[in-house]
Amino acid sequence: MEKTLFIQTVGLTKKFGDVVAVDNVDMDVFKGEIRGLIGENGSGKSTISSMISGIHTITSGKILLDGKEFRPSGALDARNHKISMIVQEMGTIDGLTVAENIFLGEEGKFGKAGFVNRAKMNAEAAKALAKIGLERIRPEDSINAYSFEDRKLVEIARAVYYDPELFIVDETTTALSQDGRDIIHSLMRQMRDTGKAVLFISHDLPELMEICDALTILRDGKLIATIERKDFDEDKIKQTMVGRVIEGNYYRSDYDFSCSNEVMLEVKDVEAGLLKDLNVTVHAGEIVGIGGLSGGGMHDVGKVMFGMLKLRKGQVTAYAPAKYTLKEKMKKSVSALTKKPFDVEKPVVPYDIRSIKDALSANIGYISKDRDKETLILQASIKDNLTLSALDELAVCGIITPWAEKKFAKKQVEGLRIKCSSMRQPVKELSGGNKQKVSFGKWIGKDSKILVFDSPTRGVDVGVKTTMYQLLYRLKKEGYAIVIISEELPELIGMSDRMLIVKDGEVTKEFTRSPELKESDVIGYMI
Amino acid sequence: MKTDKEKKVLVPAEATVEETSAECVEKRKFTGADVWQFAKSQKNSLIRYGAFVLVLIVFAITTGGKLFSTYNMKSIISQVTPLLIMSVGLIFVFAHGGMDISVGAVVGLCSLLSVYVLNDTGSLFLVLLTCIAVSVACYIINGGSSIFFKIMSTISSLAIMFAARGIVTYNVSRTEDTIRFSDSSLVKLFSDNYGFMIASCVIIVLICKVLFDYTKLGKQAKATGDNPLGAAQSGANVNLIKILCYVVAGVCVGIASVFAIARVGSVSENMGSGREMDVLIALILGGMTLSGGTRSKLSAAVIGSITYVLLSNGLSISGVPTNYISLVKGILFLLIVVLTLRQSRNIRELPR
Repeated sequence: MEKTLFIQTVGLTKKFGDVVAVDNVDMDVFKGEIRGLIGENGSGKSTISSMISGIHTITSGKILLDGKEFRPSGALDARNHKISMIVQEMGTIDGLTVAENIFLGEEGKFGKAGFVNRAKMNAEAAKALAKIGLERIRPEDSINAYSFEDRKLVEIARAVYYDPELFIVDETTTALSQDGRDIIHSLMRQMRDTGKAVLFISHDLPELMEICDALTILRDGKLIATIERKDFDEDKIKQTMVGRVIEGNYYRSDYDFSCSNEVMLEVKDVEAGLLKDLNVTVHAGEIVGIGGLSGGGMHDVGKVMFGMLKLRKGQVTAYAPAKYTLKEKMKKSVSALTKKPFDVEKPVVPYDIRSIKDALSANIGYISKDRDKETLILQASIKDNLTLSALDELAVCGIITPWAEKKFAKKQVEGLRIKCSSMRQPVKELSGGNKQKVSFGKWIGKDSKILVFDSPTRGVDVGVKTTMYQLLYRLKKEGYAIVIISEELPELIGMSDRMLIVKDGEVTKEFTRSPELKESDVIGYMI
Repeated sequence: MKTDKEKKVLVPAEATVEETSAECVEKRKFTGADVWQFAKSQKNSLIRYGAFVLVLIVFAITTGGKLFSTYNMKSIISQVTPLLIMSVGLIFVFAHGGMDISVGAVVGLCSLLSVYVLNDTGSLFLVLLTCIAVSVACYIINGGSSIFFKIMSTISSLAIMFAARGIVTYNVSRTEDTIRFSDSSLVKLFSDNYGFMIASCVIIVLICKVLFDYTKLGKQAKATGDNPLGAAQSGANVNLIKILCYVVAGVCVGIASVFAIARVGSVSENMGSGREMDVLIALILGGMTLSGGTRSKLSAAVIGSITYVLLSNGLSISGVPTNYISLVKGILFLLIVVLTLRQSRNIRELPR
């Protein structure tokens, strides 16, 4: 089949200040293909697509659309040229109905003498939703009534409604469960088959290899290679991405699932949130993986362990050293002032976890799935973020000195190799992987021995993932009790000693670490 | 001097923080954009110290040095003291993301009660205690209702403002006589002792500085201002922190109102009104971001209050009619708010 050129970039360059994000990229996208863009964080994938869709301005170079130069003045202009983009972040507005969200800025279409004909708008919205098979979402409902995933799907419906010639999907699928992914995948295929073009950005290499007709690999803003489907080879692609050899398996390589007998965390007959009956025990030096579908209650497991959900039934118990008595606390302050060592061994006692406060005193650390909103304070500096959960430990007679803070933060920044210009840099300026390292450091520094991570590698690239996995493994060896909640099965299979699959609020199956364990063995228990 | 500057050229690492004179800029091969970037990132500090220096210089010239006369200095100190103590306390409320416009009415209420207490008991200590207790109670109701009924703190403070103002107006209208200290010499410590005023300011600022920057309370409050959810998941008891912030504010406002009433000596219906605006303008002049958060600095309250008093004082002694002073303040307020708000409008294009 003869391929017709659709979008061509010539010497496309984008600078943010002095930083070159996209460097002289010449890329050709053809009609009737799904083109994958892949590269490490900061390699310029999102920037390229943002320039095409008019979100970013072009520094130099040009974009040719059907051979004519195209310089979008904004997202609306791009949409008028039939280019639609779905972004990673939330793109719907709270408080509006589904229909209003779909026709945001286009209400005039249904207008009559300044009034909006709602019935007509809802009917049209229903059509838009039906187009991607989402009849279950009702256009007149408030968008707030729907989950993150459904809202993402509404965005997709909005993008598709305008019948785009070029459909850009920017890391959307990482936030979706298998259902959502299936919808978006079939949509992409459908568009390809009708001669349209799709730009697909994702970190999930297997997904890209499954869907795309060709993959463009970017590194440090430069286009490194474009590989046709017939030449796909996972190891080779990974290598090209990072520019160095990565082992085919970047998870831990041992299959030793033994751990100490010491129970650190025990969840017993818990009924809370979506969970109906949950029993989990986590030992010291053990990584327990929690898998399942996004809406099946797996995320509530983490929340229960961190005391964020009210328990209707059952009990969560953590085992940690007893707290210092007031007298010992004073002694500690005194020894800190006189620089004398202070070591009082406290016996391990059970803690009943009913609130975040309980969880913190029992040395439990938790990283939320929505890291930027819940775990980190983006505007605050790296130092402030690292110390925020450890203020009690840092205080001497109630006073937290700047040098104690600095020492504490420095240890984490160095230990985790957080890339930053200084500890005073706001966390929002860091890349995704480094942000995640800051949230790790927050708990490791506080000496939390029980770590609950919800989707720890969401939205980070292969290179950072590898570091995360090494770190998790190191923590396991040091005797931490670790719970990983993840939607990515390979990650769970690759990392956990024991894996629990949660479906509809119940554990359907427990797997023990083994080299024979395959994704296909697990998937059946999820759906 | 010159060689000194040339030396610095060799050490580019230091270059960013030092001076910004045009000559230096050229020598270091700084582009204008660099200076602009730096200025933008340090905008709040620039406003803080820039406004202070500017006001000082301008009025030193226009008043021909009268600004620094002993008499005027005394007047400045007695005006700065209550405003500074209030601002320092209220910065805790603003830093955690709250808003307060009840301070004027609370000062009015405290003043009223101090007159009653002093006239009845003659004890200055009891006056101070009453003021603190009443003011703390007002602020706990204020913060508590905003937290537990989940209403905006502006609205709850509005309610407190009306309630407190109502009590003052009612009591003032009940009697024909002015409500005043029967023996004003008893409050001399708070009205005429300038050393005591300065000492109180210094001590309160020091205590608040420690609370604000070096304790769990201040740190968690600032984090709450940026991201309450994140602060909660890092172990902050957000509601408790908010209430404690209101308590700190209450204590400070209580102390400040003793200084305020001691200076005037009698209570009118309008006692303290307009204080809420004074505090707001002082904080903004000090470069405080009114939405709070980790970038809040206590020095904003200190420098801002001094600048604000210098400004009103300077305007009046350089001959600007009192009627216009409000207008000038209004324009200035708008100007600085526009300057600070431009930040969010003018977002640099950032990589996504």
